[in-house]
Amino acid sequence: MSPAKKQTHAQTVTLSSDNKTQLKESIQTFQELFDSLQTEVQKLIVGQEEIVRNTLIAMIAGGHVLLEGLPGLGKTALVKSISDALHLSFQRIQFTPDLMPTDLIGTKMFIEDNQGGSRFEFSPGPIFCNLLLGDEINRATPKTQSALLEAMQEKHVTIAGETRPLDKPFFVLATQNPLELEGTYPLPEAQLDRFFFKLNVPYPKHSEFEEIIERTTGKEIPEVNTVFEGKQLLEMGQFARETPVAPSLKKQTVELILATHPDQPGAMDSVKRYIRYGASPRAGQTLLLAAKIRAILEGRFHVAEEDILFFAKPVLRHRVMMNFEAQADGIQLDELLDEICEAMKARWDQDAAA
Amino acid sequence: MDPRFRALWGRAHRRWRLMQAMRAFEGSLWFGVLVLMVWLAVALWNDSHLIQSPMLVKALIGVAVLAVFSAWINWVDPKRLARMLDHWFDLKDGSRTTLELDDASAGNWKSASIDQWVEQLNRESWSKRWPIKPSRWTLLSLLGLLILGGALQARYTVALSELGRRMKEQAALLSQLDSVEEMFKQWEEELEKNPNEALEKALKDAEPLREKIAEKTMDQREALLELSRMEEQLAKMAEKMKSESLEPLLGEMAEALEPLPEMDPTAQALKKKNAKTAEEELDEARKKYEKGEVALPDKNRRRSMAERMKELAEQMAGRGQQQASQSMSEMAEGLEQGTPRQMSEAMESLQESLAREAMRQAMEQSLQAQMGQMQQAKKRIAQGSGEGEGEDSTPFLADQNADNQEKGIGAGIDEKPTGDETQSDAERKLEVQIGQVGDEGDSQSMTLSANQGTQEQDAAYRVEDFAVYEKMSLQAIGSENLPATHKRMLRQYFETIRPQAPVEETQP
Repeated sequence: MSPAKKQTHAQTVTLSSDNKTQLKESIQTFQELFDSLQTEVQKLIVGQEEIVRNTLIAMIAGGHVLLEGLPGLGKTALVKSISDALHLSFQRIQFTPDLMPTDLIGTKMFIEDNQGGSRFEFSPGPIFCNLLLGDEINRATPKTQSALLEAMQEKHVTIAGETRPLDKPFFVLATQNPLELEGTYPLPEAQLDRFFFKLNVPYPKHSEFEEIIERTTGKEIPEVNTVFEGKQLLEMGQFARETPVAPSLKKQTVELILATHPDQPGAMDSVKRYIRYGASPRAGQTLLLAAKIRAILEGRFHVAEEDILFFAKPVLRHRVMMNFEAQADGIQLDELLDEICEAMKARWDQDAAA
Repeated sequence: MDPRFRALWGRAHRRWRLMQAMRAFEGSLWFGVLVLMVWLAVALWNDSHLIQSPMLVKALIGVAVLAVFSAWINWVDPKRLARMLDHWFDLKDGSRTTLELDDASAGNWKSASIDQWVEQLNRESWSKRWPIKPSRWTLLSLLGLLILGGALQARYTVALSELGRRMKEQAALLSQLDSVEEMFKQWEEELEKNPNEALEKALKDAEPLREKIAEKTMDQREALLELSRMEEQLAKMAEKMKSESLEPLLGEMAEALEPLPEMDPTAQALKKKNAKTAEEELDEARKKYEKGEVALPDKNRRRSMAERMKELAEQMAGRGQQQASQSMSEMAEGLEQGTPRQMSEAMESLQESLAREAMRQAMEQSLQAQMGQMQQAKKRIAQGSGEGEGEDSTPFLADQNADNQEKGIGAGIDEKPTGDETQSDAERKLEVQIGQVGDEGDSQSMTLSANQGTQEQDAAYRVEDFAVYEKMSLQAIGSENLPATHKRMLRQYFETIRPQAPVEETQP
């Protein structure tokens, strides 16, 4: 059942690069839209700027986000506030082991009408929305998890041989708890790969914590208003894709992705030792797309090396599989990814100086 | 290419070249400091090296200029320059992107990007963001170079010049000593061909000298002293041989034998002091006496002739020529008694004495030749190290370059301070027949060859000439405006060629 959308009078702003003046204006508009969206979301979410920012970047790129963090850190609130700010239909599913795929995507139900006739009628599941919050996604069985695969990638679902498109835009923001791993089903690699970013939600700082308490226990709880509609988000995503990337930067992106592969010639020793599988080509696409959006947000008309490196961890941390030895040695994937990034940067600097 | 981009690109080019040139300059400065330190260390540790101060300074300046020039004209890699521009001005790869992207694919984006960073580059201070100035260490190295270079220049210019000259002298000396060794090898070859007791002894005496030559540790003075010692030994040997020879009596022998029948050719050879020919002619005469084909004069005349021969025999005995004396006495008796056969037997014995004398003459000539070579070697060593520029490095065994072109130290000094050379026939050969005709076995002959070259006056004469020329040189040193090092060189030169041994002989 789709909840009723809030009424909004926000107009969709067209972003254009037809001429230089329009381009410059569009870049500025893009920044303003993004800032206003983030500001609105941050009314409810205290701190977590990077998480909010990266989540919004992933959504502009049309990607899904996997949020990992302890309970009570504001993951659900974040998703809810985004949906409010974008005037998106929002659904929340609490994943449990007994959740079935039909509970997610819907099913055909046998209906008897008043005239004594009967028919099968499709009853859509909660996936038919703009923003789906999959809470504790790793608690569902792989069967149910895989039901999300088609929806996430193809933006449609197939039920009883009938393909039904999902609403546009469609985003999945899933959460998972790094603790309480008993009775959980780790997400398969194929599904992990479909998440644009995996973001680790940190514990709020002391000052942020105080602010959270202040805001949520007062008489008036902040209300998130709609900034613009989901269509604008699609427009922004389309515009961001035009950002030019120098061939050498594309090459560097590929090099960074391949650097996570232990079987590549010249792979780092730590990569050979601790990594089982490297990132997929989809990681490269994601990296470049995110870098383009960041470049615009930084007010630039081109992608820079630092944009690529900036998103290395959120893009790669769920796409690179560490082996048993890494777990045994207590190796943290983020540290390993930092090491890879530093090594690649050093190599690129050396190439430039050669 | 966008004109704004082109303008900034050109500016970046120049700045990059300037940076490269500065780095090259810094590098050459450090190189200079390093070279000077090594140079100083070498100079303090051992005063022998090849680099002279003016050359070094010029070389360092040359290296610096070359380094800066090569850095300036060096090809600029656009990618590197773009990365550098991005780095210095924090353009976030804008320059690189502009360089790599074409207008068709990202025209507006690229143009907007250029606008953006051109504005930034024009706003920024290039000298502040992309500083090209020598570092503190560079200034320190420059200061060190100036202090070190100045100090060395002031302190070691003369000394190094002197050292360079000494090195040249040492090289010339070693070359000359190699020639001396060549001379000894020639002696050995000569000895193999013609056994010669005197030569064998000379070679044995020369062994210590040859060892030192092989070690190449001799200096000029030591070499000259050793050669002088050798020369003295050879002179003594020659003197001894001369004292034991028949040569002073050959004339009287000629007079004694001339009246005898068939003895005229022998007497003529003896008058010419040619012992070998005399021995051959005596052999011819002896055969006739042996066959009794000669007619002896009457008794009175034979007696007077015998008396003359006996007096000669006594003189021979007085000079230690016992065999010759006895032969002459027997000949005198045979003559007195009128028995040619007895005379022929005595002649045979006299023949042996003459053969020995012939050998001695040959050996003496050989010794004279060796002494000549020795003097040549000494002269070459003394001149070779003292003449400075224009010295002839040709080994002394070859023809000597008589053209005196020296312009440095030694100019104006007579190159023959020991007097004109005594001329002797070069490549002279003397064949000595050993044994007598009719003797059993193969006949043997010995050929003594004088080496190429010319002989000089005896050392005794050199002492007098040396004193004259030394006096002249000292006067010149006192009167002429010569550098101190040159004056020292002149004194050293005369010191090294001072004939010591003959001086001692002249002061009994």
